[in-house]
Amino acid sequence: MDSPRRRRPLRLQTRWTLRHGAALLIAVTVFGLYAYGRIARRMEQDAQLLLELQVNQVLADLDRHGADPSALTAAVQARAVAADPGLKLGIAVFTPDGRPRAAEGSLAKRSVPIPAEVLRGADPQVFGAAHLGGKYGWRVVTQRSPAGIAQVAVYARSFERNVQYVGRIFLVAIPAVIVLSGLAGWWLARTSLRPIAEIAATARRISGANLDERVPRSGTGDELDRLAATLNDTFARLQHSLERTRGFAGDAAHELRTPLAALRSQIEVTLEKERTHDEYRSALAGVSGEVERMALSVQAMLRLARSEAGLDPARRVDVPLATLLAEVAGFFEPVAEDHGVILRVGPLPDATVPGDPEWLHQLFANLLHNAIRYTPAGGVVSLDGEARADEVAVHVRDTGPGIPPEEQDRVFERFHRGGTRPDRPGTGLGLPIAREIARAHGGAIELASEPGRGATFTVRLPRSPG
Amino acid sequence: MTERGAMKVLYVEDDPVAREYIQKGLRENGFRVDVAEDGERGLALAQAGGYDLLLLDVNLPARDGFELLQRLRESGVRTPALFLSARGDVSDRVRGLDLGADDYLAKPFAFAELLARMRAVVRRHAGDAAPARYSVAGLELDVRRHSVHRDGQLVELTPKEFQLLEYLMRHAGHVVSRTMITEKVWGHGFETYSNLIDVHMNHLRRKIDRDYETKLLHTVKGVGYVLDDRSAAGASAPAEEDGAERG
Repeated sequence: MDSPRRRRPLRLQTRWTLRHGAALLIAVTVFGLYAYGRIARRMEQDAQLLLELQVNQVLADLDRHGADPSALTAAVQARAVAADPGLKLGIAVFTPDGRPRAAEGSLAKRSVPIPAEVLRGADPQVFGAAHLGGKYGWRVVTQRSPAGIAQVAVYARSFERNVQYVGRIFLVAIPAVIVLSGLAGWWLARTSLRPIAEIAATARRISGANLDERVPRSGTGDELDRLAATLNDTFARLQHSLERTRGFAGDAAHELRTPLAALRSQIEVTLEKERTHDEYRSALAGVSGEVERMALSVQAMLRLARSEAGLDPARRVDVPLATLLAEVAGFFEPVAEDHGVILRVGPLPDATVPGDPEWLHQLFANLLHNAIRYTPAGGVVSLDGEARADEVAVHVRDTGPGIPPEEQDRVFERFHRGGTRPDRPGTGLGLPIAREIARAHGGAIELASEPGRGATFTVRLPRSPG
Repeated sequence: MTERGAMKVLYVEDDPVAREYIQKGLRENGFRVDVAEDGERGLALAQAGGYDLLLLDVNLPARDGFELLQRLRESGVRTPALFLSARGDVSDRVRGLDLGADDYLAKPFAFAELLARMRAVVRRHAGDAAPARYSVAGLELDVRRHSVHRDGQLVELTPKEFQLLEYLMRHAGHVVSRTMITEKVWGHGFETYSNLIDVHMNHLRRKIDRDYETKLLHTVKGVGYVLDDRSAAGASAPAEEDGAERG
């Protein structure tokens, strides 16, 4: 059913096996030819060595017994008899001008002509091959000395047989090695690719509906395990973001439902019967106010959605944080004053942060506004911070009622409103937006608070390099 | 400027409900309004000319508002333009202004806000260069000396309060909205907090108005503020406040 999709890993497997086999074939063949060549050469050298040894002894006999033909014959005969019978040693002795004087062994029945170079005296020693009967070849050496010319022949059976034997071994062994290692390669490719096939199959199964499934991990820490881990991270992020989106859509709809319901009843009740001009006017004014609040909510929701989507790197500039914080504090100074809250601006970090100034304004404005709103008259809100090695920390402290530990995580949730204070209406999105902006800049917001002892929000942002 | 009765506006909007009510509102405020439903027709009308101001929706069929304005500017028509868009992102705003729009208003907006911005755009195009001194009733502001006097007495203002007052005095007699003030005096980073402009206004009011009988800084309910000498019974100011009371 899914053969077209399964074909790809199989093709990869075949390709790996074939490549592996071809590489092996070339390597083993080259090795075989080289080894065979070396062995054959070595055997040839051994034969030559043997011939050289024998011919020199025969020439020594010739020196010693050259004047006595019977002694020479006896010496040559003795030498032929003493040799290994398997070599079928043949010896022939000639006068310096090439007339035969004695012949023994295999050269007694058949003769090998003296090479012209030796006869002419151009070359004192010539090796050659001959055929003196039998399945295998013969090796012959003809060598000249002042006393005459000696010729020795041996049957090359043992040498040639060894070479042939090695050749046969290679002819059988090389294809066997190739077939076996091809199978091994195929098996190896299959086992290496199986996790990939499994990863692919899982990835295919994972969709919006079951993003909680994960690719199986081998736990070995190898490349495939790391690939699986990377994919799992990606799935986790996707799942997280999808859940957030779903949650956000639900929350947003719910959030707008309440004012919509109020609006609807306000309008419907007004339309139910005739009203005076002033009643219509006041109803419409109420509707207008409600719509304005909804517009503010929607604006905040959009801002949150945008900050969750992340910051466009193209919009990042180096923002001098002290200037920006002073500006934000300046904006809220009169607000704090009206609340009867003292806004104290302490030392500000002398550093720049790569980011979007609009967003950073929003981040600190939200934190300051939040702190001022929740601090009772007579309290103090302070803004300060410091630049560290590679980051900047900004603290917004208040002397408000503090946030109980169980609520500390929830203050960053959408539409969570601290306590139930209808006198402090807000969108319930200020802190979530602040946190998303900090995240979009690669930073974070931490909250430290004890009930009754105020709260401190600390924003940490990466500094501009250099 | 004869903005009442004479100002001719082309309004390009594809949503019929918005088109009907905005058109109605503009007519009731003394504008002559032509409407178009899509970018193609809007461009043709705008090129025919004769308008004092263009109100352009961004998402339009046939040709979007950005494209419409781009074509129009390419063909040499310099009519001031104001974008109205549900796309209120900073990048959209920047794009609109880069194309040669004079202002960019995100939907949903208060109708009074639209009126205030339309008038500000037309005033800016009428070409009154920013003077070095402003004077309304007994209130004097000297831009170069960075000083403010009320009835000859020096008034101490913070730098922001000075900027704020300068902005109000440049538009003396005309309503400016809270978001206009936020944008011009503080910049876009504070737009979410335009409702807190009231706080700044109260502080300014304390310094320039509290100790004087004639009040110059007036709140226009639901919209913003106007700096104006009402004791002199200016022709436009009561009408604007009248319009705002509805909101």
